[in-house]
Amino acid sequence: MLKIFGIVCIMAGSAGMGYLQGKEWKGRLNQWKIMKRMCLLIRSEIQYKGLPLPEAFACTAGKMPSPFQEMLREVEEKMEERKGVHLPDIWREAVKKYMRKTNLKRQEIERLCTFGEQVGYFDKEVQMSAIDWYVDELDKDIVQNEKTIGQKVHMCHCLGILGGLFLTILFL
Amino acid sequence: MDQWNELLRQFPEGFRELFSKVELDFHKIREIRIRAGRQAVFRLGEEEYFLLPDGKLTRQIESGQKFREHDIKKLIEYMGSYSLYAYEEELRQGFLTVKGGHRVGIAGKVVLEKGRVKNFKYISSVNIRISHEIKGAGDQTLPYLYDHHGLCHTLIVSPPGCGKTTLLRDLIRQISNGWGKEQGRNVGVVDERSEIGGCYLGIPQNDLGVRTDLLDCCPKAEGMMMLIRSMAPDVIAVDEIGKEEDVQAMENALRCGCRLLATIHGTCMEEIKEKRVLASFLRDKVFQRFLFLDKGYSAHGMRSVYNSSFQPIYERGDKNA
Repeated sequence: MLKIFGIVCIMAGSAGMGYLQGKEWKGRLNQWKIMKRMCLLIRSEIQYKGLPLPEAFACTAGKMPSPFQEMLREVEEKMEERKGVHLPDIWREAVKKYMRKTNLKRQEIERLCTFGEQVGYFDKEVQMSAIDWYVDELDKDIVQNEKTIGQKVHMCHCLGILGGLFLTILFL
Repeated sequence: MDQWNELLRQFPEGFRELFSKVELDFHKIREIRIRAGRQAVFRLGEEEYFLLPDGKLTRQIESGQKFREHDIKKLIEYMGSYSLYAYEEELRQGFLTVKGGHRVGIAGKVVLEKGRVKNFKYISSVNIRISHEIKGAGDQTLPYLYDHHGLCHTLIVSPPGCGKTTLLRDLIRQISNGWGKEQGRNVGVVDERSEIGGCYLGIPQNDLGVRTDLLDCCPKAEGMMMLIRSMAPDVIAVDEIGKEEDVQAMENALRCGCRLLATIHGTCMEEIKEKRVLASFLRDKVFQRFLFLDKGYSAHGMRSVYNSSFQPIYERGDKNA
């Protein structure tokens, strides 16, 4: 009886881990999509309303989920405080502070940090082109990951179950 | 000092630490000029000073603090909240206005599109013109601008730097709010270069009165017509008229019963009479008051006031009186 209970626990734990890993993959893909949406919203605030960045960030923040919302609000507030700090530094600090709460990996967070360097151009068209380039790069990764995400999630689930089976056999 | 600290908020790190060490009387500061590879210049009143690396001001150019082109780029980016595209129209004219109504003039290599200035490629010089709103600048002038019918069509004449805009701004404020026994009037202002209102993101940084409607960064002629059509002003105020279309728009304003308050570059009545653009207005005696300003005169530069027949109704001969 005890053995059966142990087997069930190991199998459930292992399959659960596989499921969570798969969920993390899906979560990362979802966060990339949110990042893309955020950039596109900022772009349209610039293109159609001609808003300066602090206002564009504030408007976009209202349409974003947490923690992207808090991140944009903090960037906007720090820009308005005008303590002399340059935007790329404000942006980097906020990204590192809030993106830790997401499933994004270090290099992905680092990439989002570089968005702060893509703004500040004199010309609206150049400014939008810079954002477009950033979005295109992001889009390539999203498309590539969307193709393989199903396999990756399936693999995580299978590995979870197989890992549980392996441990069960080992303990028996 | 609060105003100086407020102005310092417009500077990024690097500039801010250095400028915060400068001890000066804010009311005296007129300009800060920063040029790539050259010494930064502070103009206090009519005097020029160079900034030392320890934040002190000196008259010796050799020891002045220099800034690089990269520093100027960072300065402009910061001043424009990294949103210089939002100032495209102002930048086309060579300036941007920052919070507090201070005007940042820029020079460098421009980008042309169809023969028109589109933008700046490189910025080599920055001139920060400090806005000084002087409430009460028009106190002594106002009584001369009224007759028994009310406010007269007035032309303020002065050479650059004598306080035309400062005076116009205060006149607008007082006419709008009402002063003495005069009731407040709706004043429409066309501020082509953001100098009167000192608008920052569309919000006037200077007090123009409770009944004032302002069109910022709008061509004068077009702006006057817009105001007449949409805001029905009692008084229309414009700075630095000089083009044929400005005068045509003013004629339209006259037909609509608006009072005119305008400024123009000039030094004396003879010079004004020779201005071809004003010929029809002078012939028809449209302007009922000509207000001449000059440096060194008290009452914010008021030197003399002439009526529509070009007769002086106020004249001060003694410069320092």
